[in-house]
Amino acid sequence: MSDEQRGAVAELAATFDHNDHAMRSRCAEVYATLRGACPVFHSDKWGGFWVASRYEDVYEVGRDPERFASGEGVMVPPMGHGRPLTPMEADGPEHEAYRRLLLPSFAPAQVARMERDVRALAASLVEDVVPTGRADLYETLAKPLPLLMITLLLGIERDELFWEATDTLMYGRLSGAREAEVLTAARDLYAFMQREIDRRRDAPTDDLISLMMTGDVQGRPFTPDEVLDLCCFMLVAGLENTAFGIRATLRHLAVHPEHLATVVADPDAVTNLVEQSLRLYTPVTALARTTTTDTEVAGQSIRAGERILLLFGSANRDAAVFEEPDEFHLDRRDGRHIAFGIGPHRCIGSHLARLEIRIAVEEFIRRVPSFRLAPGPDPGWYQAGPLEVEWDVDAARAAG
Amino acid sequence: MKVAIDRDMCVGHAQCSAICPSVFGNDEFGYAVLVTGGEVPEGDEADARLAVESCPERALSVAAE
Repeated sequence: MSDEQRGAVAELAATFDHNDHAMRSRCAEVYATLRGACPVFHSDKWGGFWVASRYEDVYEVGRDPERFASGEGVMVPPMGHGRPLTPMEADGPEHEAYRRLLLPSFAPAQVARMERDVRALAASLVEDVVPTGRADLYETLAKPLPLLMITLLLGIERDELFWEATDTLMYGRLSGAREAEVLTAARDLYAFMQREIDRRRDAPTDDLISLMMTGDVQGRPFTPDEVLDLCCFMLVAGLENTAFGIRATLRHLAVHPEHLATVVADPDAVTNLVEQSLRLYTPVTALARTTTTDTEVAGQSIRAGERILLLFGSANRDAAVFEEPDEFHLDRRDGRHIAFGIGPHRCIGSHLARLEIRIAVEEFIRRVPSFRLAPGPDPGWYQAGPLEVEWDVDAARAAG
Repeated sequence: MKVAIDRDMCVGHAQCSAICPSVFGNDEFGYAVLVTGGEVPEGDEADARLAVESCPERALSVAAE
């Protein structure tokens, strides 16, 4: 490597920001460069943080909560509303207690029983847009499907507040929202959820909010704040990332007619489609840990109390684990991808997210077996936002 | 062919039970369990092997060929 190349790589590392859309649009090249030249590196962005970019190192960090804790926060930058994202930002017995309580509700067998509801909701959303011949699939399918499902599970009424508030919490700081805006969004959302909790105190129901109110840590009931944080994060976590995954998968089909033809002819192939989409278009690009002790990752010394990012998006494209890692392999499972994280913090909602993405695709292609991006620039997979596609209404009518 | 689960490693990705349900199941928390004590039915060897390789946590192994 020449001095000039070395300088360019050092600059790439020091200015690295996993939230940057321009970087993510060419992430295959950026990640490969970083994995090869400096697998564990330091970025000066967002107050400074380390990054683990190789699969092996992400595996090591993610599976060692003693050395790499979550309680100091896992978002870089933090959402900025000053409350923990429970259970994602919990450690030890509390974390264990939250998971034991919630896991049965999201285990594979339980999620399989949700398929009928998810399909009915998806079919209805698709039905509404089929006659139009053109739609923004982000607004009409990718966003409402997870919203309807999570409100069903939590036992709450759909409210416009959810999207505004969660959008602001997820993306507000990245798009330069003022602290006051973030705090207002959080206050409205948390106040809404507190009312829902209060209503159930004397009249528990069989929904998730009522369940979360019953939890305890080693014999001590959850505090009111613990219940509130848990309920609010269930809502936030259930929306944006699944919407991102549905959008990215539908966009892939819109720009790859050969893959669309394959899954239309063989609906069983949708399972692999979803897994490859999760691997290459990983909705949660990265989450952080904080070192609890002076330590080392891949030979790089890191002091206690520093943040280290698990770059899932890069791990999922690591040639040490995946053959032709930047190619979309519809004929391959690649089950080892870590789009839902690794270790004890593995996404609790992963099976529901997979189900929602698969059903959204199945129901859309069942009615619209051929579609393409609407004229204009390709909005890309790497950001939330509009996904305008168009199709031949007569062909869709024949398919219906 | 026989497979084994390291229960301490499993965090419930449930790729194994999705890929090879004749061998792998899930308990009420979603953690992996062996359906037939780890014995792989004849004809399911390839799926069982793929399931073992697909575990992100490396909680599964082929115990005997």
